[in-house]
Amino acid sequence: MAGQQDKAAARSGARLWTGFRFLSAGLLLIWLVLPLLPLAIWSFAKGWFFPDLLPRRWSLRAWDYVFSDTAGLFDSLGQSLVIALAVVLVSALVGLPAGRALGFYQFRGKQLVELIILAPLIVPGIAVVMGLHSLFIGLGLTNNLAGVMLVHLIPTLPYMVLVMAGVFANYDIAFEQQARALGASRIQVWLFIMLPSILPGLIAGSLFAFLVSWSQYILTLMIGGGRVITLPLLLFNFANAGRHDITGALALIYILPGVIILLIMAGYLSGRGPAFGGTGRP
Amino acid sequence: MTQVTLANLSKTYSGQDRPALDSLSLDIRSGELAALLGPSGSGKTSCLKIIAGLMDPSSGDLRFDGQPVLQLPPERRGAVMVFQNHLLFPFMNVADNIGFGLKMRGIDKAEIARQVAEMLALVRLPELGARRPAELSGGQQQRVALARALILRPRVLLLDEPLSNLDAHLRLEMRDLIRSLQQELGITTLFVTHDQEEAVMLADRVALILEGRLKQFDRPEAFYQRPADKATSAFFGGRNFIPGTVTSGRFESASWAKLDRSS
Repeated sequence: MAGQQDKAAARSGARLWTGFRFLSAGLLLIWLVLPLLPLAIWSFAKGWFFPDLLPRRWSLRAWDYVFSDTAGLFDSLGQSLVIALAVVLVSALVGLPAGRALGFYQFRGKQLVELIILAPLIVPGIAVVMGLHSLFIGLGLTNNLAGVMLVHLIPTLPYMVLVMAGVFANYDIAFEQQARALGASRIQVWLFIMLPSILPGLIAGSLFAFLVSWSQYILTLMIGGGRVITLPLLLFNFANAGRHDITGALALIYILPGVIILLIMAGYLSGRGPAFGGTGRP
Repeated sequence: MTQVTLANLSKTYSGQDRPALDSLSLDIRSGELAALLGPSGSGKTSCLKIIAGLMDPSSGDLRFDGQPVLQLPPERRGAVMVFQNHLLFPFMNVADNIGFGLKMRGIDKAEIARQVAEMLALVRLPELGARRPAELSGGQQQRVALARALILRPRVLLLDEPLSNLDAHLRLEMRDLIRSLQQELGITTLFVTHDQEEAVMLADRVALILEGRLKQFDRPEAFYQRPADKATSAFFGGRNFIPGTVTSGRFESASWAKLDRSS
């Protein structure tokens, strides 16, 4: 029977598809997790030399040191966190209205504006910061937190603005009119209509901005002038010094926010409702 | 009960030379159900938005019970508009949607819950308060949108194409519901439609707008018995027009002569 053959073919096709999905999930896991494995091993190793597959002697020395006062982990962690949070806040405050304008309105030169917003992602950070350095010295914005926060905005703002523009392109302003028609004031419309609509996108954009700030190295080094030691700078110091064990331990702490954020994002990106918010145009 | 007076309301959108609404004057009686009828693009929705306070007119005046209201923001006018595509807030359930306007007025939760339950019963959807709008049918969404407006006890209710997104049988049901609710609550109501049958069946009086101008504002049957002009009659399905003159109660046309000859 042709129908039964079709069904059998469909079944084996589905089985093949499931198998393929498991395979790709497995490969992805290996791709993401395997490179981290040596870091974890190093952090517990007391010397690990070729051609040994695993270290001969294990030790908690690196972890002891990392959590001691001399390592400076907690200072760096604090500075990274303060900078990243401030950068996220400012990015959101700028990115929200900018994204709203880009998402809603058609205006002359819009494509040019979008290109200019993207430019910091195209131009290498080191080139930008070379040019900015003397200006920042003149303004007294080097060697301090404020300058580092400001320079971190260069790579974070494009992400925030573009994510928010995407959210607002998918947001129907008629809902705001309807809320007005039902007696909501302007502030109430922002609070009860706009904010819940864009919240998933705002969270996604903020997490992006956080990670981008968290992982800055060259911008922090140049503008912070060695006074502002964020976690990547600390990490690089030990890597440069050849302390693979301490580097391994610090790196594991360093990637922790990324892993947490990935888990949060997975909820948003797994197809539950509109990934980046918006109310959807009817 | 509120009387709505539109005096020479005009609206010209920037970048367009022809006005969307051209010097519209209407006097809608207290408690009346009036229809704004016209083809799409004739400025009907603009008119509702102006009355609701969502849009400013280019010129003209608007009064509720003789009081000018153009300076008032929408939340203080008491004119509530229900949009064509329902626009239920997707991130709130049905009960929160209906209670939205009361929440904006700062009324306490228990009172909102009580009134929402009352409204749900009134629009005959008593069990659906906890549902999300996306889980409702088109007709149910329309009723929720209506309940969300009515709960505010508006002075003026504005409905934009309330029946156009519904199936034929739902349209009848909804039409009856709107009519009975309007009679029961006595709210002055203005609704917009492009369908002359809808206007005639539902409204006390119909205002026909063609190309931004008011042609006739009258009882439904008058459009058949005494249409203002040829375009008005044509809009109501008039097809055969015989030119002629009335002299002392007698209609005479040059066309009669031709008919005589052919017979």
